[in-house]
Amino acid sequence: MTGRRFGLAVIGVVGASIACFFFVGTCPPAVACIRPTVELGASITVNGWMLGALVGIASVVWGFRTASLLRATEQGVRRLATKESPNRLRWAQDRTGARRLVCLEGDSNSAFCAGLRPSIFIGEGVADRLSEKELDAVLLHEMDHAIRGEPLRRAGRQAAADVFFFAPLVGWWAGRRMEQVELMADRAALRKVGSRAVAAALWTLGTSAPTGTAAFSGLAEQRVAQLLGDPTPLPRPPLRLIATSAAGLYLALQLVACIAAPFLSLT
Amino acid sequence: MDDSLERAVAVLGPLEGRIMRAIWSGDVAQPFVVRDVQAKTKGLAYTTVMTTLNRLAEKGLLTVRAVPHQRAHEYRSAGSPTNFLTTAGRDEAKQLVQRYGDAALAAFADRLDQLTPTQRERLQRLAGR
Repeated sequence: MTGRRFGLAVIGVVGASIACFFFVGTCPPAVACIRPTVELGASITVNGWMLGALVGIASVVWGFRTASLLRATEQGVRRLATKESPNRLRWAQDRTGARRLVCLEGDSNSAFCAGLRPSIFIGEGVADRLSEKELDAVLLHEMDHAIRGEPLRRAGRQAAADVFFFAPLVGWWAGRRMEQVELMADRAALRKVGSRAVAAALWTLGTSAPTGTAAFSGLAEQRVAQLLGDPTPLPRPPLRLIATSAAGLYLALQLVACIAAPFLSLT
Repeated sequence: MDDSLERAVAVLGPLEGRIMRAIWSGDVAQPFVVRDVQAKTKGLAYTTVMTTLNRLAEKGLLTVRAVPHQRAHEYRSAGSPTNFLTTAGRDEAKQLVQRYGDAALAAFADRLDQLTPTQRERLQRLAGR
């Protein structure tokens, strides 16, 4: 979710909360009886229902968001011009055992794994620019993603970050998880072709323009640190993020409770 | 040529593809004006052809220039179908990775400009570059 969208969503939740509290607080005739009807003894059950409702709604929205991200990517991938793999790529495929490999037309530097049934997409330019071992490194890295079903998992994590925008800790976790997965994929390549080939592939594709790189920042540092044998410590979530997420979750629960109050009082 | 022509036309929309097929295949002699293309693409209105040609020029597939003392503009193909496929493939893939790289696909390349100068130098040495 972009910064602007996130800001609008936060304003929306806060605005809806204020509107709901104001509506219930002023007690219009239709909901005048709400306050006395929910007894204290039943409050635990009621709170349980609220939480259940929040989780239920969030799960449905999460499912839709995941599907929409995957669909958008599939559509984008379908628009790409493909061509028959050149011999160098076919040989690399034989050496690494990569399946579902698609060669992209043009001198694209892109190499990525996408789709519900993951395929590996390699730009013609990648095959031209890299040596045999470097090309193997790229394929092994992407194969690891394909085996783990990373596109689906990533869409799921991104959808969770979007749905639980009021708890930014989820977005932070999604980013860290992506980092870990990239490091795992690099390790899979490292085991087979060694650090020199992976480093050379990363160097060639990372420095030659134009290339498509994701917007997420901070990943390159971790990957290079791993290649160089430097420590890659697990980062801890900042305290500010934990506090913001707790406050966001509380606000979301209150909003659900407020919206549900009239319905509960009328039953 | 024929193979790349078909693939290039397939990447474009139906209307743009139809017009570019006529241009790339040599049906329309270069340079050309809107009327020349309209004559080779039956059933298309003059304004439709003109709008499409301008859109193709904006996309960089055609070059356009105003002819002195004439109202009609002159168009030329900016490159071959192979040139177009090369550029289009690169741009589309780049945009896709930029858009969904964090969301639903896993790309290999990374932005090395985030590295510290020391880290960059060490990586370069390890890569043997």
